Amino acid sequence: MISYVLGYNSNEYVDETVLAMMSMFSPGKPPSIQYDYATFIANKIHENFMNLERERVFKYTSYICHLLLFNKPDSFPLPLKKVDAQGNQRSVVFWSSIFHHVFYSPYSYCEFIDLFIHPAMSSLLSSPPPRLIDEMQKILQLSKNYSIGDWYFYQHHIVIRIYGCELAPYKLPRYVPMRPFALEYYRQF
Amino acid sequence: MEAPVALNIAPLNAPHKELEWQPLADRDFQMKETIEVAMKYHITVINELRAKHLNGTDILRIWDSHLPIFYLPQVNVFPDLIHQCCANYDPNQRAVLSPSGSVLFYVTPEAINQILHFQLAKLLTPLSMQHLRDQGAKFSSAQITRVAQLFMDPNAP
Repeated sequence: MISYVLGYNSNEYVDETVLAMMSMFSPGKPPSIQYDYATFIANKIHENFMNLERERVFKYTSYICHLLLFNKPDSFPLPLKKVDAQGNQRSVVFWSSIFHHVFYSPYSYCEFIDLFIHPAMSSLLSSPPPRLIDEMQKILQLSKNYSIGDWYFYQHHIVIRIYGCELAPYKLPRYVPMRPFALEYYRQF
Repeated sequence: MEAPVALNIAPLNAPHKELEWQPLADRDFQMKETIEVAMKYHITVINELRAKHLNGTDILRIWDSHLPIFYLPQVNVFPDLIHQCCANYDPNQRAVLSPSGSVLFYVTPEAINQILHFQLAKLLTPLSMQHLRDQGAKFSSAQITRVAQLFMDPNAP
């Protein structure tokens, strides 16, 4: 948990961090030092945005998603539980299960894309992104003479086919970001 | 000219399947970004820590440290979204803007505390990796031994 809050995806720095942080804890007593995590995280996000071109890795996606949901809740077609049974405001963490990235999450990967990623991208762009962007269409069909595959729009899904591939295609979400497109493209290719 | 019999075969087509019987993309192992076996449900972790806090068995006072409040559920990562947020980020305002220039959300301590519904009048200690390193360097061997006994798993490789 400590490494995750600090933005590390491995245990690389955990030993040192745990040693320093947990030394402030005396069993049975409140911690003698309480850290300002919000300032730390806000500064790290700011630095990460400023250096993203160089670093190429962003470590605080969860915070970006929750900030978007909290500030633009009406943009997302999700049932949200903003208050608890007593009517008290809840942390945005408990508003929806859409972010809970586990195999028994009530939302599938495709639903996460259609219900969250697509509306989020729409609020960041001047017009909603198309279901399959031009770049992906060009990858499949560069010209009339050079086309290696096709795409099919269904009401709730998109299917792409690479000519000659005998694998059954996956149902991709209604809106296809580059990552699932690339994975499906290479799987069939 | 008639094609040789050996070449006169039906084309190989993908087996026909109705759309509703085709698997969703999220069943593909490549789409999963983390090893689910090793993952623990976020809410489970929070509830366990909160239950320990309420029944008095949280001897390390993890809940009192506020750390669980800032522990968010892990989400699927989409670089498209992050790069677009970065393109729309205004460092002077410390905010991500919409194409019309209005603020979508701020990236400030106040904004983070607001979404997590965290309010504390007490002045908190600034956190940095350097601060942690400095604190760690001051440890006596007795402190290191105590922390090792509390937090290190003796069975870990």
